[in-house]
Amino acid sequence: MAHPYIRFRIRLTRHALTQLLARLRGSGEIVALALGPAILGLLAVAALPPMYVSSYPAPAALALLLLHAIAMSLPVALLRPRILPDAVQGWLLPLPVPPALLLRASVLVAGMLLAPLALAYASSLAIWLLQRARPDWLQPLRAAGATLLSFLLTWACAAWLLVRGARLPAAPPAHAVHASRAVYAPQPRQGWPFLWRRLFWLPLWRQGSPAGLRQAALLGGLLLAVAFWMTGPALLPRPAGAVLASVLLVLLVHDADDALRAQLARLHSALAGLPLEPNGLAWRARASLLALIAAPLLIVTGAGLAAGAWTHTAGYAWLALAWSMAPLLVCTPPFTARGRMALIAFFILVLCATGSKVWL
Amino acid sequence: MALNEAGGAAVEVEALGFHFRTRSVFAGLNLRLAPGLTWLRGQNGRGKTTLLKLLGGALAPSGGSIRLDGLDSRRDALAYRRRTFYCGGEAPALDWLTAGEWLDLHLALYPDADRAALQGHLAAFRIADSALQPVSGLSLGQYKKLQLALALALPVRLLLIDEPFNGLDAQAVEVLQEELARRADARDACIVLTSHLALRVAPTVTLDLDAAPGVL
Repeated sequence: MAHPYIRFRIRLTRHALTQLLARLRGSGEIVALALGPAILGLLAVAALPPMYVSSYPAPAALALLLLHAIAMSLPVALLRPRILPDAVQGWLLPLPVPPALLLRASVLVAGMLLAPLALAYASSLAIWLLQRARPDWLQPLRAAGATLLSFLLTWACAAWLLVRGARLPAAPPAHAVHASRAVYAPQPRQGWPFLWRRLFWLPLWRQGSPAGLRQAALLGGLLLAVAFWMTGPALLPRPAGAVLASVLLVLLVHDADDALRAQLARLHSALAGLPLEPNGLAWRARASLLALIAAPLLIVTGAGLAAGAWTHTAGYAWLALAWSMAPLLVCTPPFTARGRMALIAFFILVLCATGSKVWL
Repeated sequence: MALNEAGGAAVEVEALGFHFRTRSVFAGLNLRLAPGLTWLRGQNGRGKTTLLKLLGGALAPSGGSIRLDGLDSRRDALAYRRRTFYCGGEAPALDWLTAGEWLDLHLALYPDADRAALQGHLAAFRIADSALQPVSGLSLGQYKKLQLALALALPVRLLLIDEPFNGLDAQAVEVLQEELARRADARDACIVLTSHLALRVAPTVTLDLDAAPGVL
């Protein structure tokens, strides 16, 4: 019979995975409909990196397998706050959990989280090894061994990440403690930008929130994709740049809107009783978000003008869709998760379709 | 229930009803609170905190009305809230802010707040040097002091303080008692506080929810 601590960690993991699946269930059909072939393709090539690496000399292969394992264990790091929430961790930290028990629990939890990866590797391996015309570099035994080794390394990395995440966080350095003491001096009276920064901007970056970094990464990716799309380098054909830019633009708007909706819900109770009108606050916050989203849209529009992209129907259509997508996503009620996902999938597909025709 | 001892009532509660999903708290509660210090008493679960939140506009009544100087808590919500402040002892709201940012945000919402008084109260409670500390990192007592320093600097007509002495050190209890005694004598605003401990400050009025009609 497993130790109660291990049973507790497994129950926590099951609970987190059930919640995650419930969130995905609402949008599962739409993702399957829009991205089904792409997902099937990804499943088929899931084990390709370790299989291909197995054809390299042993030292290089091992190093690459390790890098691949680290990359594949990153989703576990992203899931960690869900499977061991801060509130639970704060309660668990003072308990006398022996390191060996923590390790056993982490290995088991990592195994649960990586089970879908194991299935994907097995399917991919079967697809590649059972086909008649195999590529020359594919040696079945080495490929299977490398895939198994890659999975075991991923499992070990994931367990290590979970053990680290369950340990007492490091104390801040002494200089940070001294720097945090400062006498309060009231700020002069300020308007909406001041309120917006404190209520909507700072929460994106504090208390370990990944939203700010995620949106910054999406924005950076969008600008890079637009640069590729407009300049059309040999490295990336223009249609691929258009697809990338379209997907990243919709994801950026969706993510920013999602964060705004979550923050408005959080503020609903936090600001109850304070002299702020909730509906007015929500609409001003939406208007500010749209004004911010207009900045990358202006850059795309300007870059397209300079590159001569907006000269015929496909260009006009892409621009009109891109500019109308943000207010539609931000100002419409959330409907259901499925309805929201359908709207996002629609914009991604239509923008990709029109964007890839701009230079044809 | 009439509690009007000093001139006209500032707060008028009529036929107040409030229900949580699992139980009813108030049905037909009537109150009149005049300027001064009101000590709200009652057993655990009688609805003291709920009443403070209703009076502060942080909860909406399911029936009846609450008026402050003639302003209705629902119809004139914004003007009503500018005249009230609920100082609760719960986990910090807006916990992504530092203490300084938290104070500045409230000053922006109550533009007539006395900034010099705020700095004075922060110094008196010995937390003036905590401006850069995250609100979520403050201890229970520090957060209580932060709330109290702000509450005492706001130009509100109705100040609602839930368990003001919980978590405070002896020096802060002294500071708060002196300030409450001064304000109780001045009677220029309504201060309603809950406390299970006997007050060393003489309240203007004691309101016992265990005996009040309309409390379920």
